[in-house]
Amino acid sequence: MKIDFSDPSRRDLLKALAAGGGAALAAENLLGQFVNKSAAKGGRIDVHHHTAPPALRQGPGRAGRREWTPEYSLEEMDKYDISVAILTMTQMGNLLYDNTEKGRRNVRMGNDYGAKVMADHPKRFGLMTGVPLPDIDGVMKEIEYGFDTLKADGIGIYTNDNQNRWPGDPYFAPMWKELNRRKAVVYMHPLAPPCCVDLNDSVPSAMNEYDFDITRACTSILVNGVLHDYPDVKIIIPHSGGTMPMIAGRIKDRYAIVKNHRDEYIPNGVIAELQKFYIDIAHASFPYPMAALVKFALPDHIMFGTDFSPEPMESTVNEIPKLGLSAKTWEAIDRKNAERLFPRFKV
Amino acid sequence: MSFPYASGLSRRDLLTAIAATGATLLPAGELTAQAKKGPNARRIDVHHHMLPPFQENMTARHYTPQVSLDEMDRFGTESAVLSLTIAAEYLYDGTEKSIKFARQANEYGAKAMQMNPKRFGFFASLPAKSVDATMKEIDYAFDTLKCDGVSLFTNTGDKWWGDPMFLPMFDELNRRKSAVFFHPTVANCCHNLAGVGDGVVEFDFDTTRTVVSLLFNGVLARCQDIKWIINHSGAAIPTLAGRIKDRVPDAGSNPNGKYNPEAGTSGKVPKGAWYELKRLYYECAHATYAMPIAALREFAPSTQYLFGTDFPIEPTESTVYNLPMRKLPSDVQHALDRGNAERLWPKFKT
Repeated sequence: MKIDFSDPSRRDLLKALAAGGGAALAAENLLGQFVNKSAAKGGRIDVHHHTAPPALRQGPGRAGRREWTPEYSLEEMDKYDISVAILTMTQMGNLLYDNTEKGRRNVRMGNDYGAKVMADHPKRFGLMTGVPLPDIDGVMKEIEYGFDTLKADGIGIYTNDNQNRWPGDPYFAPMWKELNRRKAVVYMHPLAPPCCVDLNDSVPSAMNEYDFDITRACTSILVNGVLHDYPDVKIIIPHSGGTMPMIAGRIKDRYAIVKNHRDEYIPNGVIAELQKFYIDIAHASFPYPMAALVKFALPDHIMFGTDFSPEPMESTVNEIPKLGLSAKTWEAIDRKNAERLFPRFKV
Repeated sequence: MSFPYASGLSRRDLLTAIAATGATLLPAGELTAQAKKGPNARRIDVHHHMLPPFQENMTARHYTPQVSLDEMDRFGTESAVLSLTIAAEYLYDGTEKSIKFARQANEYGAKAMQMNPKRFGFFASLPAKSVDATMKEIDYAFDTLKCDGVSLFTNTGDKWWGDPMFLPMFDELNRRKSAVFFHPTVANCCHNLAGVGDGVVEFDFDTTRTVVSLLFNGVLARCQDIKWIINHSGAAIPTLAGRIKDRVPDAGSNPNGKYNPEAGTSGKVPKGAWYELKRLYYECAHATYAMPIAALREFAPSTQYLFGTDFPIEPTESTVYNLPMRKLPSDVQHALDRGNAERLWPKFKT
């Protein structure tokens, strides 16, 4: 499939409209920019959508927040023409990645809960099961359990293992090897690493530090050749890539000074290697990150996501009409690109 | 602190590295032709370093201002505003030595400027952990040395600039309507993470951290007369601007779980996050690739763009080779090259 990203700006579209002769083309381009309606037949697939297993909910949450339930998701999904949401557990590294039996039990409990939600609504929910990093043996068991018993659609990991190790670390190699064997889709969700929690009293670590850690994890994977060595793994990263597309050029130019870097990991250049990541637009569909993203990403690697319920869906969908992307582009982002990773939802 | 290209790698090494790793964004054949368009631009480089011989980690570089002039002549850069680099550890240790170092560096910059007033300006450095000494150095640098603003590294080890201890300094800089140029440095938290060199991604993160620290602590709103200059096309500021807006503390972005798209304002950010961030100045050193320029163009008006190179740490080529490929409209290109800088420093007007 070929998507035309050559004229992503609203200015160009308006110019086309003004030209008159291009009215048919422009009208086609303008279609699909609706908040409530997907450009794709069959509706949107939300690849960034969270479960909150009852036993793992942390405290009361933000004041006035409605507690998450599968029904709450379905209501919101219906509002915005989202037919399918692929569930992952949200940011709870302290409960899941504590390297104890308790953490392993929590992961299992969350996975079983997610599987039940999926079984209750098999057409509406997919599931990417969690793993109890940093315990590699536990990870291997949970991968097997997730795929073989729970029939998961993929595996969810965080951008670090809560011990200041990032996913390219050789420590993770057995996990990547197994995920590669299974041709797994991996959702890589940010977690503020221990180094960088509560750095600055007025800036919550849940903000910048999440986006930074996405980029850190990507560079860790890059310099350790993970996607080169394990080419059948497909990794999705959120928030229009965090900061990665914006600074990809600077990462490229620094590759050669990384200690022990290996040129065989980048046969087609650094950018080509970074372009292997699939990227969702949750809470980062603002015109600024999207401008960088469409210059960076391969057209079939961009996906719709919302980060619901930690994030309201509106913070993603409200921006859609402002971007000037064509209906064909939205069809791919909303559904077609995700269908290729999760073929069971194909319509 | 280790910094691989400060002492070791030559321009050739870096250029070879760039060419070897980046076929898709930097077609080698176009490089020379693009660079030749430079000489008519008469650019003003606001991110340009002096490496004084008394700075311990720069002794081996044998830098003189002539090194800068030769490079500027090669690429049609008319003027450069000099600042220190990789010096946070010498400036912000709170000792008498740091106070002396700042003074020595400022006199070095002033001398370069006096010898070539049309070609050089300079940003003063401040021993910011010592508040009294900082206030004295501001007076001396502005009133006696006639500096063009100040240069701050993005953290002082474990503090970012929104910390209340720095308010007297910013109030004084605001009174003087000073330019404040931020240069990245890696904070104590973040050395040697992820098996990737500090210079690869942590620099841009820390620039973003310090801008958000200033925003959320109300310093940007309070100091409306400071001309804030952000490095590397804004590091991650343009791409994260939306997420930053929706996370302004006490801004009520998602009251009762309902999204409020107009949010981003609070007592400390009364005009909103985007108002403050869009009026910062953004220099483009080593960030003229398609992605950062696309994000910056969407985010900030062209009145806020400045030219920078990060020379001699970064080869001038890594900024100027890419710039013509962005095909900026000529008025925008001129604004970036020198027009906006002329407004900030009328002395460079010719």
